[in-house]
Amino acid sequence: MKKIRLITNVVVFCLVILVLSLALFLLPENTVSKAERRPLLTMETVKNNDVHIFDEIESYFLDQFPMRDSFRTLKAFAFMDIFRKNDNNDIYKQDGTVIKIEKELDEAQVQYTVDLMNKVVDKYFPDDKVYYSIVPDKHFYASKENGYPAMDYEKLFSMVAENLEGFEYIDITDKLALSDYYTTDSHWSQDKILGVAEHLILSMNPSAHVFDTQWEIKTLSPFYGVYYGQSALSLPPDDIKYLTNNVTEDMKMTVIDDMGKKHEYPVYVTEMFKNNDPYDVFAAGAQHLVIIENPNATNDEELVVFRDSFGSSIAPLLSCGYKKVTFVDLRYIVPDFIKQISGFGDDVDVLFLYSTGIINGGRVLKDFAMSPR
Amino acid sequence: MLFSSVTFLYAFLPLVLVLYFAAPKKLKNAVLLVASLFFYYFGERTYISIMLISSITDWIWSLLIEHYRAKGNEKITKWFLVGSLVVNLGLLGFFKYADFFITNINALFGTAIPLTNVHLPIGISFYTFQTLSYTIDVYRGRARVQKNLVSFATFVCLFPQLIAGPIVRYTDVAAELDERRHTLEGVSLGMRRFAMGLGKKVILANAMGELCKDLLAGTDPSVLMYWLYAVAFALQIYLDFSAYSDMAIGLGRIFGFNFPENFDYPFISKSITEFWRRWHMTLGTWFRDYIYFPLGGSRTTTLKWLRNILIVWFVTGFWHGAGWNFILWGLYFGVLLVVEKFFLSDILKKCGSVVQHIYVLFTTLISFVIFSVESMDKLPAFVGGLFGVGTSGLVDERTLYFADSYAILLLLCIVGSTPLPKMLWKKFSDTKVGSAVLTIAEPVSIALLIIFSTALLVDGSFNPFLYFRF
Repeated sequence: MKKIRLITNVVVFCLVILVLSLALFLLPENTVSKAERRPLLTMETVKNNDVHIFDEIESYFLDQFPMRDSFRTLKAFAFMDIFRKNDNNDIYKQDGTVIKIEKELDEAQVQYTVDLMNKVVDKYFPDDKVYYSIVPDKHFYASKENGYPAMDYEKLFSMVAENLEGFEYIDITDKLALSDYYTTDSHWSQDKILGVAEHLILSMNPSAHVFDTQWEIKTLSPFYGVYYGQSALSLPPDDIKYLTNNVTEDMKMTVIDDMGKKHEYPVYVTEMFKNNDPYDVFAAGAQHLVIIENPNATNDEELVVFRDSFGSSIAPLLSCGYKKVTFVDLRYIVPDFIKQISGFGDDVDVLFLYSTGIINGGRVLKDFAMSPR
Repeated sequence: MLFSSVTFLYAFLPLVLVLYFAAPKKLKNAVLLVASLFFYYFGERTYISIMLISSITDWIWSLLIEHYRAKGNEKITKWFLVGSLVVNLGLLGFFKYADFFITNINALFGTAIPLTNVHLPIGISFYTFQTLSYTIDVYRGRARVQKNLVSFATFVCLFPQLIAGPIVRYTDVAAELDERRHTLEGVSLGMRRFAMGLGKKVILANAMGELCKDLLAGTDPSVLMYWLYAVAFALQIYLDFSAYSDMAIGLGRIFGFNFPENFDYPFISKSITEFWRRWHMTLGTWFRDYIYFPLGGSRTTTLKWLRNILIVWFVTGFWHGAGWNFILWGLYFGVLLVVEKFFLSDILKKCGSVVQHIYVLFTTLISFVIFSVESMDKLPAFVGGLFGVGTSGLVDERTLYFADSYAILLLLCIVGSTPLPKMLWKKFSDTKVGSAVLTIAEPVSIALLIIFSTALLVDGSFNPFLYFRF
């Protein structure tokens, strides 16, 4: 019996190592991880890195490991269901939705964000009506009642309020709930934020007529959100639901690229659903300048929105209340020449709409390359 | 290259196993040497030459010692030993301690001597001790000189134990370098030991590492946070280092070597004296044989014995790192050992085993807090925190969350740090039913450990071996 066990040990050890080893070397390379929405390291990239080739090899093998997603799911399953860890890679499940733990408040980065917002207003909008609103992340709603460690959200909100000069705050925290967000993604679902959009528009422009017409909900599926890949949990996908009516269909969306070239799209770019991030359907994804013109607007007013990715899906809804809305994403453009490039007018409403995550990690926003004053 | 890396597991190891077992007996050492040099070069490209200098010079010193001893010129042999000491301790001193001394001189005298900023060559603390012990043993006549450079270089560079021990002495493997047997039992038990070490490292030690990181990221630490951190860090360092030793010993057995054991469940000790007989045993015996005994050991006056103890524990601490906290850590144990010897061990014996265990756990947890701090200025906060100094209270929500989240893993780590699982396994395997069940269960466990460890590696877990920095 003992000899059989000794032989079986050797056979099993060698089999596991050899089979996975052969699969690693013989299976064709993958270039993209759909679950993680990122390009995978290929041998071509590794070969081009002469200096750190050995460091890259481990990353290459990890990226190209056979059944990579299944292994990651196995790990997530074992840690959460067997070892009963409350989270996997800082992501946890609550009421069927996946949430990322935001543990620490980074006061220096919050201050950076606030300073930048003040500088932008000083340069471009000293005499305009300026508003700001903060989009809470999912953890904001889930952490308190479930005992998960969380950043000091109260302090984040108060730091922003105390340090902004001349901004009017529009509170949307009570207009949202955990169920208004996708279950596998960090973002809010557009069909759940009509109330938020209406509140924002009416707070800035009380005379605006919004959402007079009926909406039609259209669906794109399956949508595997950003937390689907990060958590590696086995989860059912979401649907991307987007709202259309004759007003949104008549809107003209212009995207200005890095070279200043203009590209026109409908407000929902459904062919981008095939992108690594299907959320690109909204406002054509990560773009530094997007202008939406609404020919059916009941006024001639203009809005400039400084936004992050949450702004993409609310863009068509906000545009219902204005003739023209310019969306600026400072993660991708320095603020020095935004007025010249996008051509917004002199008398505008201004809204800074940032999520807690962006405010807390403000250094992703680009500061002026030259002194703004 | 880490044992717990995909590159090692699925590229290096299978290739080396195939080449090694396919090679004729005469070439096996050469295969191991080439593989070991590649293994080292993969992680340490800049200073592979330092390891080669240490190996070649000690090989030459020892040949010279034997040559002149055979000629009857015993006197000159001492200088070859001095040569070995100068080269090895010089290399170790420069690469590991130069910046520590410069920093302290600058702080003390207000000078501005520039730092060397050289990085620590991987494994230098281990291989210099191995080559040094070889020359000392040859000088003392306790080891026969190895005339074959390939065999000697294989001993020094042998990849299973090259970068984090156990500290294998030449005499431990001298016979096996020339002639070793490859048995089914050796290979099978080696593979089992390696798989267990891999699982211990990747599943348990890394989890404790993540817990430590999570706990330290908080801003309002409580007393509970400091104690949980102390427990998690002690478990991490034990599981991490003993796992590396398990993998090294396992790989050694696969290739026909029998390396010495390095850990023997230190946390079940009833005294610090016993703890150090169970913790990093190859380092403890190295210092005992090459420093403590030559100084006179305990067979001398009380004052000289005290001096010997303090020297050995100062060196033990300093070996672990070029920092005052490591020196303090070593001396802390030195003082505890002296106190135990003078009176504490008698008192403890009267108190019963529960008190003895509590005493060992309490003192070792504090020691690992000293060990873990990045700089001395953080030490008061960490040690004080254990006793409520500068804390936000006894308990905080954040720590409770992590205690709850890691509860099962913590329990597994604690149980895994005792001989209980091994005892149960053995007891079960000694029964007829157990033996039959384990014929299936043991290989299945090996497969599961490798597959699950791989899953954690692929997920990109926290993975560095702590002892690489020593």
